Amino acid sequence: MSKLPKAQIQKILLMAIGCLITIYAFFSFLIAPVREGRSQTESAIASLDKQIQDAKTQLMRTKNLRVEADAAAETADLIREMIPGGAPIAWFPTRINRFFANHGIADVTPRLINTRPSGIVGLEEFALTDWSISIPATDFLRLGVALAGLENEQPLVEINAIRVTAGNQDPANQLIEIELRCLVHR
Amino acid sequence: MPLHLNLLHENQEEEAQRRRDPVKIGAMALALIGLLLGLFYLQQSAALGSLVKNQRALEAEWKSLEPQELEAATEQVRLEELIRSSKALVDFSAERFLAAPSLGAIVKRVPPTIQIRSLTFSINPANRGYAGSMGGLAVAGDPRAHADEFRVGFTRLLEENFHSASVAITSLDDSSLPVTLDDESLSAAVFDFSFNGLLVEPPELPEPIPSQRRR
Repeated sequence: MSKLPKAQIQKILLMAIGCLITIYAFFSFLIAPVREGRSQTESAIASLDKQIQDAKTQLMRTKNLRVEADAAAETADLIREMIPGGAPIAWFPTRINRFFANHGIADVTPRLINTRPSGIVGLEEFALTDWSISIPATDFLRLGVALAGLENEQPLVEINAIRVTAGNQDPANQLIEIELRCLVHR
Repeated sequence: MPLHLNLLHENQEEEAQRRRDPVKIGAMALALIGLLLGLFYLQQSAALGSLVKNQRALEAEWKSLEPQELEAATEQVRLEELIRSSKALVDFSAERFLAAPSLGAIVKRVPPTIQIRSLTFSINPANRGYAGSMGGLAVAGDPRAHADEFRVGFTRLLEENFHSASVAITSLDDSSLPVTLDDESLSAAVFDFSFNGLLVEPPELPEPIPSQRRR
């Protein structure tokens, strides 16, 4: 191989140096920003993907809840509609008197003992009223039938106490005291 | 052997040297490298462009989904509150104590030889416990034993209907009143019971965490 002239060796060296500089500049100024942009875009896409998935999950969850809430509200609305508006003292005694009269029990005296917040989680919009109902004379079987009817027709009434006392003169007719609580609108 | 004279030798040598010119070869190599780098750059740029396009599509989708998600989150709170309230209302109605079936069961278990003269029954809504008392008259050959038999039967009745029951005799006395049942004169005893128990099983308490033994 013939020896290269000095001028050519200088040119080759210059070209090699130029080539290295060009490659360095290429990767530094062209490829690096592209790669950085790609990395940023990929991370933005991953983040967006997660947000979109979360949003779709949220939409699906709300859709399912809507179905569940519709079913739950249907029963609850039926129960709510059983509570008349206005102060309980205005409607409850009338309702109780009429109810027992329909079962052949007269002279019923309902008395309001107490009204208090329900204290039940989820029923903050309601209040509990405690009532005392006095029945001077009735027979036990008639009372049992009436109470069964009351508990069936009034799902928001719970009997807390019953006192039955037979009269000395006429044991068939008993003095009844009933304590019950009723859920009402606040 | 014939003698060949190549008169173009110098020209050919110069041409060959020109072809082997390292500067030219280097320039061609540089051009090739430049071309490869250019192609590489184009490929990288195209990949980035595709990603950016994908990102824009996702951003557009997110832009339409974001308000819906916010609305759904607000609605979820409202719906959960509605479900909680509805469930509490239904539970109140479904889990309340029903007195009539209990009174009916008592009536069915009272034999003709027992007369109930007083009955009190109350529940405690807080702990779902119950308590009460019962007074009456037992009529039989051995009225005291008959009253106790009734107490045992009444205890069984409460145990069948509720979670637990305890019935105790508070008083049991012979009655001086003459009692006639089916034209038969029998002796009588006046009794009083008290009873209490739990309507439902109490909720299980969490197990205590065992304390670490000190060394």
